[in-house]
Amino acid sequence: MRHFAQVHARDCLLKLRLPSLRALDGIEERRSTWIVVGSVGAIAVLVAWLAGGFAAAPKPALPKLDAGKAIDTGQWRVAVHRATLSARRPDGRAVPTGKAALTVEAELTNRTHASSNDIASALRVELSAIAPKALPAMTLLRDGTILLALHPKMTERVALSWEIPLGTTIPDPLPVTVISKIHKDRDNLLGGEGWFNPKPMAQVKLKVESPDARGAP
Amino acid sequence: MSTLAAARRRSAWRVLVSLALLLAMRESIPNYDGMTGPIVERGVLGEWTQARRFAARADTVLTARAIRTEKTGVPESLSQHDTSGVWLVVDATAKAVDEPVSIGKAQILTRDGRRYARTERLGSTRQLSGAELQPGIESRGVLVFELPADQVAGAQLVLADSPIAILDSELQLDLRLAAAPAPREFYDLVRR
Repeated sequence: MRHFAQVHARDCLLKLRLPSLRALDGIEERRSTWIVVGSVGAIAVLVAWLAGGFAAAPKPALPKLDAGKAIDTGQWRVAVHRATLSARRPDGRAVPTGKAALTVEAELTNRTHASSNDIASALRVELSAIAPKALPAMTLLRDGTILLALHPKMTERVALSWEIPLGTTIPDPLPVTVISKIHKDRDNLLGGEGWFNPKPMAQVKLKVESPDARGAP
Repeated sequence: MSTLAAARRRSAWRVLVSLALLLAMRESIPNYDGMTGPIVERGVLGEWTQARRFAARADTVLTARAIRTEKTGVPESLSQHDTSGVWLVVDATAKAVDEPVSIGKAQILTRDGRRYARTERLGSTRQLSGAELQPGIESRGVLVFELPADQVAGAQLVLADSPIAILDSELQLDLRLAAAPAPREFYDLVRR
């Protein structure tokens, strides 16, 4: 600030005595250099923007995973087996009129040190009819009971079921993304431990089976 | 000039030492769970152990391969449930201290530090954790868990009146399982 004031005072003084500053110490030349650099930079930014240089980079394709093949996601060991579209949920109850139950069956093993109900976040069905954070109905296929938690080191086959409008176009094959998380001893908010940063890690393509006629698209 | 350089060096060292101290403090203090964790009261099978708002006693322990139960309030709705491990059934008694309270957390703590929550597959039939405890009145019931057979030996029963016992009592009762007992084929939760 002090330096700027000194330079400004000197310029004012020189303007009083000289018709031009060009012959002195290059003040004017330096200023014009900055104008040229700024203009070229602005043009470069504009051209880059027009050419799509600031658009999001295309996401790299996820590794493909075969149905039935297990993968470790951090919290879980997951093997996605099959998908069905039906008029009934996995527990046998009928879905409301105008809806169908899209169900993904998977085998999960809890790899953590405690029972966990953070099951639904392990899988994501790539279908616009299913909101990204829509929680599925979860069923333990061993006996058809509602699944509320899975215990450490105990592998179970489970069904995750979403209700979707009847007639929804289902891609063939249906992409199902497996999500990983990382464990933090201290999270950024409270400093407590937990599983964070969900990130797609692999994709399984499933042929959707239709065990009954009603759920067929 | 040399004085200025020396002053800059001293400032840089001060910043580095401060950062190192901050990092050491951050890494050495307990995390949030450690600072706000439960206050553990230890006990053993067959003895009363006192928590702040309740007292409990684990009476007997058994393991089984399958359990028969019924839906709460629906007679004749018998169903049988198996497991990929074994069922661990703890018969326990509990009472409140000053005011009614429920057991909000029931877990098995294994030798390797894993925690198995009470099963929620069986409804609330005869479950102690579903009952409201009254002051001075003993309530008896079962707490049922499923866990791998190799996790049974050395298991402890964990009880608290809240799922997240922040700076409150948590009972850890040694179930005296030096070795895993041979599991029954079947345990009837309806007609014991």
